[in-house]
Amino acid sequence: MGRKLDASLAILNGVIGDFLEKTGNGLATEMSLFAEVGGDVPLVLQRGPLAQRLPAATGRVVVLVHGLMTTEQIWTMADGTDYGARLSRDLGYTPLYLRYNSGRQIGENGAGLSDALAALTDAYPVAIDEIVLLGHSMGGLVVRSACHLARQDGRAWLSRVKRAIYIGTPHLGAPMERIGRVVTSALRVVDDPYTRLVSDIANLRSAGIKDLGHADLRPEDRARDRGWSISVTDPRHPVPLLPEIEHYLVAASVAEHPLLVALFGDSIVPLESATAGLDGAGLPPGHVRHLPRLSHLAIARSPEVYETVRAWCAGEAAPAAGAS
Amino acid sequence: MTKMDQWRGLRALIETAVDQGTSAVERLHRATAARPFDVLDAIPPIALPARGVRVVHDAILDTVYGSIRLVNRLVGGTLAVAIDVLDDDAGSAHAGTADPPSKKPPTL
Repeated sequence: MGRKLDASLAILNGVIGDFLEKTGNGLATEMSLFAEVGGDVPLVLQRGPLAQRLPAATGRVVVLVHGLMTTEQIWTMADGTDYGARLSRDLGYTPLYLRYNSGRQIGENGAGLSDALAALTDAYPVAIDEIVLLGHSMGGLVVRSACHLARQDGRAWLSRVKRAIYIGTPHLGAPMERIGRVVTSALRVVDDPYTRLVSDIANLRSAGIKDLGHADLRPEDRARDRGWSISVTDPRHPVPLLPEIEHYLVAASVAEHPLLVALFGDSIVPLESATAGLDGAGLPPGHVRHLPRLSHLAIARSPEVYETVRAWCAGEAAPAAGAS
Repeated sequence: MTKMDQWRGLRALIETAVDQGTSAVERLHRATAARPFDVLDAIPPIALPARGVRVVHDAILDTVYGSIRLVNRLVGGTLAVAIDVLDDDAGSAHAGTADPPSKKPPTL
């Protein structure tokens, strides 16, 4: 499939993907794992076919999960490589790229990812020693949801997950969606057919986008229409960061000045949300990294971010800012 | 999903968009037109003829928007049949092969 078509479908799925799925529309993206970025043929998660497609499979697997309205193409760096390919080259990981309908509820995609990882671990050609989950933006929330559901369901794959790395993930929600919610509600109050039409059009956004407002990882959370005031590392949180996994957070900001950082974050996700609270939700200091002068999309393909990811996966401390 | 499924999806999406868009414009049109008619209805000497004009106006609206929806469904139905025929032809051309090129294998 062409890159432009893939990108167009990803945007369409991000905006109305829940509608496409509900109506059985053929434009809805099915959740699939790929062995390479931009692949045409998804992996068949059965022993024979998988061994054929992954002849150099290693016991270290990294699964890259893209964010809203994108595909795995988001990971492609300027030199044509990506974080997965570089982790394969530098540390011997086998990279796998998830593609999914980002307009579905985050919890639904989390359940799909959990199923996919269960099928993958059953069919993988060699014993899996370690799984690293790497999520960009909404992809990080899908990872959290999948881990939460895997623990609930007693899935064996969860025991192989050593690290989860969240890149620009809105753990505390995305204010732009919350603003959109307020604006559409306000427009609906005005008794004017034109205003009502604008409100209806603005309200067309998908379930996935609406979930981003308060980072709702379960369908029942959005019904409450509010965020969680307790930390994501607190066990009382409905979908906490699981203590048996090492969690790493990368946050970016388009500027360096503290005021601009506080106002704009990485242009989509505020610094506070990407770091799960400005104190990193009590995670070890080395597990949270803030990189200035990077936008929300740029952090998915930045050499500097990759050096941090590589260091974490190698069990090293993240390089100092500006060191790469 | 195959390429043909995507074409079918695109057709269905366009048909739904035209249908929903037409309904939205129709609602807007009726709400806008209702304002002057309501004013005229409140003026006794011209209320009766105004009501007559309104009935004619609403009938024309029904016809115009109904026609748009009808044509949309006819075109959509024709395209659906054309896609099915193309799909059948493609299937026949690949008869005997285990996996037609347009068909993706099941994954999850």
